[in-house]
Amino acid sequence: MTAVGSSKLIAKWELFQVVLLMHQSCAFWLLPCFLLQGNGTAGLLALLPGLLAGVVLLFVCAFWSLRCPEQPLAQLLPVMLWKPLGWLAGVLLLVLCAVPAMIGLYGLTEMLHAQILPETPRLLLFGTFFVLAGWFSWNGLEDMARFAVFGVVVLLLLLLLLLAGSWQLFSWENLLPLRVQAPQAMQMAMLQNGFAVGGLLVIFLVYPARNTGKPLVWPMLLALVASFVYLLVWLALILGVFGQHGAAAMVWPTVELARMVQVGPFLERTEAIFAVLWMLVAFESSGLLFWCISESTHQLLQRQKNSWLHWGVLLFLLVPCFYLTDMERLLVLGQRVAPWYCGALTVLLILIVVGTWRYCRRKEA
Amino acid sequence: MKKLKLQRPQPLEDDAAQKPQMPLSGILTQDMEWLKQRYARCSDLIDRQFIIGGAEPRAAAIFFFDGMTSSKVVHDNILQPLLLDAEIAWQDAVDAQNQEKFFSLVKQHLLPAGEITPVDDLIQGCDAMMNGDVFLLLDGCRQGFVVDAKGFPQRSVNAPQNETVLRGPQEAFTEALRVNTALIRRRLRTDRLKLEEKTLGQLTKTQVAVVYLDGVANDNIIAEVKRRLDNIQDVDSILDASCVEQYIEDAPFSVFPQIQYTERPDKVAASLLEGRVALVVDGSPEVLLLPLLFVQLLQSPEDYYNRILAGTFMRWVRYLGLAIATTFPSLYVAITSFHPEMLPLSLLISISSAREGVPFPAFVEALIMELSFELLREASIRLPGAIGNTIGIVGALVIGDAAVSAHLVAPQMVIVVAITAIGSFTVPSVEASYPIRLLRFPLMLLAAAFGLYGVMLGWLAIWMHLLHLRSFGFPYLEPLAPLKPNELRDVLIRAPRWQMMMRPQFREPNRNRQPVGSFWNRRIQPLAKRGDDSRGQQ
Repeated sequence: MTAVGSSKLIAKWELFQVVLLMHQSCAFWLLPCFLLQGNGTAGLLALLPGLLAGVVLLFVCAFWSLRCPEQPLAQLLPVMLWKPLGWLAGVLLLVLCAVPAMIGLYGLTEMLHAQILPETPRLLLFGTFFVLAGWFSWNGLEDMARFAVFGVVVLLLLLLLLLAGSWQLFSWENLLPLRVQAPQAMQMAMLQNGFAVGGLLVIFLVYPARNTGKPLVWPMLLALVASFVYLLVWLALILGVFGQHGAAAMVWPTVELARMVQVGPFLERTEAIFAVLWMLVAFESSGLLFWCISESTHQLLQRQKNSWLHWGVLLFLLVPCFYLTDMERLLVLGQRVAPWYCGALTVLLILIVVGTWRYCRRKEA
Repeated sequence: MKKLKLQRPQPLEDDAAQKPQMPLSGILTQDMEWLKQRYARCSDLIDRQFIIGGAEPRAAAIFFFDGMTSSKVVHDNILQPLLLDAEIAWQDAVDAQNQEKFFSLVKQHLLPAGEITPVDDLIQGCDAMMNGDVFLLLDGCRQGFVVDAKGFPQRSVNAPQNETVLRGPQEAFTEALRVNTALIRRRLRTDRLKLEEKTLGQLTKTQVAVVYLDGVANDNIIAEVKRRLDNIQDVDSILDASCVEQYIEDAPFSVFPQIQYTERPDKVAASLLEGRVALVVDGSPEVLLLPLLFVQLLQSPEDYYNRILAGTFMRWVRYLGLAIATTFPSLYVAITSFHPEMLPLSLLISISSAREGVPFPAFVEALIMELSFELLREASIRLPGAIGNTIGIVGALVIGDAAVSAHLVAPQMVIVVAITAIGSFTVPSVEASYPIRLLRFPLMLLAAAFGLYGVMLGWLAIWMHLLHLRSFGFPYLEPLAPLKPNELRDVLIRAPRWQMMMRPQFREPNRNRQPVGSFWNRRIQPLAKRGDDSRGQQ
């Protein structure tokens, strides 16, 4: 007998919330910096390929899950493809989830360290958040899907507060001119947008939890479009308040925007409040990415849920942090990794489509 | 946290087969001897031997415990008919010497008590005596009678002590199980109200009644409650409802209660109408309600007795109280220690000048004041009513003033602690105030270590725990997470009664949507047709 009132399935709107939050992803603080530096308002256009890639990813997910609903992706990859190739694809899935998780987490640490807790060691900030997110992911998808509702509420609240707080400083003229000034920077912005799309890989593991046998592309597409509009408004607000040059010179334009908000004459410099509220979004997305990594590892190794394996895999993610000692290194890493990341993401999607097609043919035969 | 897998209750062996058998011998002296030996050195055992009938007398005896039975019932309903009226009945009886006829005669004509139960086992008789009944033995009969004559001292029905309301019923449960079930039955006069009793505790033999509305309560919950109760039948003692709670709750180490206590019969009735299950424990003036959702801890019966807007407003005041009670001291510590730039300059200067000369950091200040307050609270509970209140007020004033004068704490810290205390008093249930008080300290510690980041870390951990917590299989944070928009009308607001016509999630899978029409149709429906009013007085 199942637990009274419990369900291993997640609701349709929970799927919507998960997609929305994962597209905001861990790169939430870094994305404005990635997109606007060197591009100005034209950086907004770089969001479009990201949206397109997101749509493709969702369709691939729907294509796969409707044809192979019986098994989780990582477990199925070695079966769908040639075994070593399947393993390789599985590892690729892990890496592609790990990169945005680590970049996002380290970005959050840097932001907290730079903006609100300059005297607290980075390792302590990183460690506490890492442990909490790891614990969250251990609790399982059901809890994380429920938590998503808080994340979405916080996202909306943040936007409304920032809109209310900085609207007076907004100027449409700051958004002009809208032209691509440096094609290379634009290209890099588009590639770095891939980190946000990469977060959506979680859907491959979340989708089977909605295993209703019906395609659920619409709620996911709606979430993706909502997230796209959200980011667009957000970036436009930054550009409209700070101007193209001002925004390009900032590492944390979102935090600077939050600094503008004050609650009457009573509460000012509220960026600390905003920063900790952003933590909610980071917490949800990090937790989901950690869960995805842990779950995929378990599936690849065909093991039952094991706490040693869970924490072991997550601790393995800490290795790159020895390289990331400051913000500059993180930005450089972002630039270096982005092309490879986008390439690997494309390869993985192709492998999934080919594998699914092969698997279906084999089943029919 | 380990998630409890709920299972169907295991079929128990026949009750009779489990009990030790000590059949009545039919020889009165022998059975009496056995009983006397069993209760040797029990000075409160009363045994009274007497003769029934005149021409062909039969020996009989009654056993009961002094103080647990009503002397009037023993005299009027047992002794008087058996000693005096037996003569008349005897003359009418045919062949009274026949054992069966004699037994039937006594049962039919000579015991005018409300409830008599024939027993053939001395152990059963002993158990009944423990509940305040009288055990009647008849010479030559292999069966005796258990006569209901309960009359132990008990409190009368008084006004609630912990769940006081300005509007609404002013009755509270007592320690007597039967009184408590009667208070519930008086509000739910339907044959669908079921009471299934179980005896728990090898030594205490405590009666526990599982109360629910048949066809309304979720069958799975009822089955699960029974299963969990069956699992604790071997324990030595059940002295209070809290003992049952600790045995059957999902996560005993959680600071959050997963079963609700109430001393109000109207609240129990409303909960039963929602599809919840109540556990009435003999000897406890509080009834357990389950499953419990977090939001229910912040709902008061008065919300539903007041007008809609007033109810909604008071509910939000309580939410604010909860937020203040848990987080205000930690926010104060975080802002003064890590983020003073958030405060306007004038306020910052005011705080800084007031803190001048205070040797402790804000965290230690807060800790001293919070602990002092907890000491005062604990002391005022232990002292008699009037003195307790005086100590509470005088202690707080004197200690607060002295601490500020001695520059041990800043004046604003006294204000923070006072507001925090007031906030915690707005929470309507006692069991919900403990997690608030307990969580305040780690949050303060995290604020002292990491500022606002620490406060948020603490809250994330609390949310994670709450998300994972279940009460009899139901997610603790329902209807917030998982989101159930339909049920938010009784969380974010206190919706009009005619809009709360669908029973909440406890009803599943027996959910039965009430017919609803347009707003005006619903508005003009006669009361009897407006659903079950189940959200009435939660």
